Amino acid sequence: MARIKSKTEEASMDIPMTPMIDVIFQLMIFFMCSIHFKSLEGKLYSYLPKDKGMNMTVVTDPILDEVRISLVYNESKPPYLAEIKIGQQSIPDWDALKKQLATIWEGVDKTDVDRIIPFKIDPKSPKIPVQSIVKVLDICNEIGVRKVEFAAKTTQ
Amino acid sequence: MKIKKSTITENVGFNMTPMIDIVFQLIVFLMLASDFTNTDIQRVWLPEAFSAVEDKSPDATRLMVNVMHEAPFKQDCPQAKYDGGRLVFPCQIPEHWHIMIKGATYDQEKLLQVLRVEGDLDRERKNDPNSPSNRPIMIRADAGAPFGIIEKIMEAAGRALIWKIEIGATNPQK
Repeated sequence: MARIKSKTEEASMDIPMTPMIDVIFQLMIFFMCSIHFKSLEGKLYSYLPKDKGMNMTVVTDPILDEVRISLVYNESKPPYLAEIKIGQQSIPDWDALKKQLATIWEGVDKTDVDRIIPFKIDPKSPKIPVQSIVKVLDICNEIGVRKVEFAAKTTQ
Repeated sequence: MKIKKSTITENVGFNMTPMIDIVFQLIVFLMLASDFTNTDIQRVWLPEAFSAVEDKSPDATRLMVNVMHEAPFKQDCPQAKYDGGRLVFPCQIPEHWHIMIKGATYDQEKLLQVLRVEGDLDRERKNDPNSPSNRPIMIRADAGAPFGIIEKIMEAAGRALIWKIEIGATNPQK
């Protein structure tokens, strides 16, 4: 007797996963590479004066006052490696510097923009790390001082 | 006996999927690799500043001057220490610091030449090398870089009569 063939030849229901995985990987790589995260980098404007330094013009009406922030190299104070001074006065830390500069800035006569006294950053050693300089610049920006200068030695 | 003719036909069509995958992978790799070799940006840990403004639409002509740290033969530096991108102790070895523009190292003299050429492209009075240049530059220095190097770059910029200087910084991580 002929054996009746049972209905076992069902259509294969397996979904081929390989192309889907391939496409997903491609999309992942594409998005990973093209996505723009929120930019973490920023900048501080530090425009050089046009009429000072190498191309000096004669100053007929000099501004005699300035607020000099000195950074004295001290290796025992990482990561800034600097002792802070305003003029001759020692400042214990950055918060104190901010308070002190804010007080000075409050008392500055701001009526004539051209005659506002400059805040001068004076790194006493070339070894002072950039982070310290940027910290002072940052504090000046935060309290609203825009006229910040860098002290430098005159070179031939 | 009659031999049954074989009716089995082999599928000789190519499976294109793996080939397309590999081609895409290669394209992505080459796009990324070529981008990295010609980048203005070197890997540096920028100094932190609360008042740093986001560099949203930088001037396309801006020259990026990087100050990066690299010990000779890519050895580990005995001094520099960073923790999660934050400076812990800076390197004080002058030979480990390099002024770089587009991946090439420059000394102060060469940098001055480059800045003069750049400056000449946008002088306030055209064809007058003694007039100020409006070409901006960005100093993108590592947080631990000694200020002496920045001073050299600023001096070179001053000599080239470039006055628009930006200092790269990052907002502190919370």
